[in-house]
Amino acid sequence: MSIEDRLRNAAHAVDEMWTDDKTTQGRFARLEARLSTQAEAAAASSPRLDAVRLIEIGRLVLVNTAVRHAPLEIVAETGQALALASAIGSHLTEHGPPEIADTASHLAELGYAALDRLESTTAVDLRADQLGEVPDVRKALVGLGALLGEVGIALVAVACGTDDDGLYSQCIEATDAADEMSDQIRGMLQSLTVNEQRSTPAAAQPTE
Amino acid sequence: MKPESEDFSLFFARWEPQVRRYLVWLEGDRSVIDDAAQETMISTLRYWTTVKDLHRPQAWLFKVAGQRLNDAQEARRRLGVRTSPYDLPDRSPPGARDEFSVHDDRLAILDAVRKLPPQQATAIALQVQHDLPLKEIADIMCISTGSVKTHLHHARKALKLLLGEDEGG
Repeated sequence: MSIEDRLRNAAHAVDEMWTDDKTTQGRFARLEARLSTQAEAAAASSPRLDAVRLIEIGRLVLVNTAVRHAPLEIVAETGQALALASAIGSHLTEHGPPEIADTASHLAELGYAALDRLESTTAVDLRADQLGEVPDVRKALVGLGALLGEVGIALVAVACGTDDDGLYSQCIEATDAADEMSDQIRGMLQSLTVNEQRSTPAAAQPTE
Repeated sequence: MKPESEDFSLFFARWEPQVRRYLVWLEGDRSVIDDAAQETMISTLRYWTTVKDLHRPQAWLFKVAGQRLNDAQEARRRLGVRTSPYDLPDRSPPGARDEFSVHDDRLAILDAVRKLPPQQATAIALQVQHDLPLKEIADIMCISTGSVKTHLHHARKALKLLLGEDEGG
């Protein structure tokens, strides 16, 4: 038998693999379980966590809620993200690089204000309370920007899928807040970059 | 509008097996395929808003699947364990038959394909298993269509050598 025939036969044999819907559903269930377990284990692993870790946990939990399309959980996770952004903003105001202190303070205020308007987070234990350090400011801000971006996307999906006017309004308001906070984060990253370039002018030179 | 989760579960049902059918040409260890396929789907979720609107998501999926496979293989080499401690592999009861335990002569050539240089094996998998045009294979592999042709040519030549057979026999 020629190589071409053997390759074709192998492709047919592979086509016959993984065709059972039940086992596919089982793998999907395992994916959901893994996301859930990872998020819970990460959240329970330490009473004080650095910002990057908390952001990663937030992103994992958000993905998990998106999988299950749980609108109220997504709104609750939005509260977690806003609270975390506020906590990081407050931390950076006091302990971060001076050039971003004002913007960090504004970020914290925006977050707290948005959190106040988010009804479903009033009784939630906030993971932001576990915030310990922000050892890598740039990495934390990049991650926070990504988290808020994902929150915005998840909220739009909830808003589009709900008939509840109250929930819709909350989602839109929170989306706007997340957008505005993302702008602040971009501003801080820009300030960090400018300051880094000033302090190391040689590094800013283009290389051949 | 359908719920996002329903959209994703439908996507998963359709494409996750396709990802596996691609990976099996490149890797013979079921646990590594499990890891790589699952990580690919997690990446899909992360970029769901983009992926769900793709007319032909296979290019994106296979590109990511290749990266995740490299990660899973690297983890196996480095640690000698599975990538994720949270998701231990299915252990079927003794005597049970799964896709890999069922002996199928038709699959023997996959061993030879997996011994090829990665670029050659990838090109063969995408062309033979998924019948993708050269342009799409080139996009997935981030190389030119000319390079894809070269890899396919060398792959077939190498397979003939590995299997000790002449074309047309």
